[in-house]
Amino acid sequence: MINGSNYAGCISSRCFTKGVRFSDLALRWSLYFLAACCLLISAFLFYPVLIAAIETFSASFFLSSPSRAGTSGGIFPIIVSTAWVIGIALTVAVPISVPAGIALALFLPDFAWYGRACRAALDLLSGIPSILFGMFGNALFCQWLGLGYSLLSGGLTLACMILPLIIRMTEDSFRSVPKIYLIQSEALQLSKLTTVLKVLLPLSAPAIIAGIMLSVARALSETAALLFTAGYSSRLPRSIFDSGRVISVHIYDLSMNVVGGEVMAYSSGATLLLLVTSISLVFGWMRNRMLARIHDRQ
Amino acid sequence: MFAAVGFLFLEAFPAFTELRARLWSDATWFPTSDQSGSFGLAPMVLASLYAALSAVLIALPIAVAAASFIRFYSSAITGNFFSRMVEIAGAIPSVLIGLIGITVIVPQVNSLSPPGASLLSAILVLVLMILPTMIVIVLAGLERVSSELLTAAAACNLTRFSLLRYLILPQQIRTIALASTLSLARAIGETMAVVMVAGNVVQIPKSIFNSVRVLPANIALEMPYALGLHRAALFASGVVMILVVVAILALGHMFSFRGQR
Repeated sequence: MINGSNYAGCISSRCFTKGVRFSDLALRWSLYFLAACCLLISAFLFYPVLIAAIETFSASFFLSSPSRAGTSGGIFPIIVSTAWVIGIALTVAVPISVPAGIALALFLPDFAWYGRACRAALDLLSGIPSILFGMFGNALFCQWLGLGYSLLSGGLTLACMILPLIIRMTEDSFRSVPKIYLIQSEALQLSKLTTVLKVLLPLSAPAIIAGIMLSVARALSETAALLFTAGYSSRLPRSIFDSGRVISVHIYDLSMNVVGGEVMAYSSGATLLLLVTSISLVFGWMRNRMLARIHDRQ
Repeated sequence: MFAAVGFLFLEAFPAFTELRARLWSDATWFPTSDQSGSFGLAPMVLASLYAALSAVLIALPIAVAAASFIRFYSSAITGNFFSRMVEIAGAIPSVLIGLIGITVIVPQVNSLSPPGASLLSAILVLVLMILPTMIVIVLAGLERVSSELLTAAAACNLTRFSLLRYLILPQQIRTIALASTLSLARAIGETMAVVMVAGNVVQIPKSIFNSVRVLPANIALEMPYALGLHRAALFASGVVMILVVVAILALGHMFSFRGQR
């Protein structure tokens, strides 16, 4: 946790000479001014989103379909598509990435070259722009496997995207279990498998779950990747092989291709923002607490 | 192992489809008009570079100032509040920033000089996008400053400004370099936000108010209707992008590694 006045813990900022020199004063006040500006600018930028949200949120907004090219009506089918795509992504990604993260934490230490190489590869993978994932997904899932523009290919592409994230978070959670547990289980002569399953896993499970939810928040914001794989259709998808639009793509379409679509774009944007922010905040906070709790449990 | 396989797959597929166009890509360049078959990548690559580099250059001082502010100049509550805000800002989807860009930033730039959707808007939007991550990284670096250093500085009766300028920042060059490289990679690959505000005209920008199309935006816009050779060329530009991004990220990795030794 960041503590602004935490100068070595015991020194407060008052120990420093306060602005005897002009440069120090100048820097201080310009920083304060800039901070205030940041707040103002953010408020200014997000004001329309807030207004749109207040104006258009209602039960019918969430339960009806878009009409008139999306400039009125609701976003129900889009919410359904989004849920499906993320559901598919999680179903595919979690069973692969959680064990992979555990394996990474256990068998590939940092000091060995293959451990470092693996981690470096993961970092690179997570740094690749999402549109390239979209292209890859398109080539692989839509064309090669013949799935076409469908929720399935979108979900699979998204799974590829969140894979490195979840692996990373799982590994971190596993790593943060204090060594004392490993020592104790060795003292009890528990087999490695038992240690992993009965000791480490239950300890780090909440943190892992929180990490998964954070990846969901990240996945919700993905646009470019899903643009080419899950398609544009704004009807209710009839199966996972049908095409569907996710919220982020809906926002994109409304603001770029539809004249006068800004209001609905803002409303959808407000929905997305609400979802993403709440998930990030809640689970981020949870994750920090879980990790701290693992540490304190000794 | 896992990641390496995924990686290879990632590169192989676009390259696969692009293989037929390999001969083309060397001789000619990307869509100025794809009917006549000219494939000139240059305007877009330049635009991407201009936008990304300018964005990083602008965001860097802001990020360092913000991080120093949070860490050294604000009280516990304020610092906490601001760092929370930064975290939230980092979680905002790029389409939303694009939306705000298209409805707020573009008209403002428009009032300055006619095409509102321009390189300037793209740069501003990119700055908005990379700022939170930059601040987080620099902040993490500042946290690692040893407490002995701070004690010694206080003992010497140094002002905060001197502390920052002569002691801490020179130490943080590595972190700052890491932050810059990561943000550069992010900025080059950023599609949605830029597509919405940059105007998407394929031209070499001669002024900051010209509409430009960046490389990923090109892929995003043309992919839905690209066929055959066009599509292969798009994939080729994707390969170029991957190589560039990977190179930048590898560079950044070197920075963070040397720091740990």
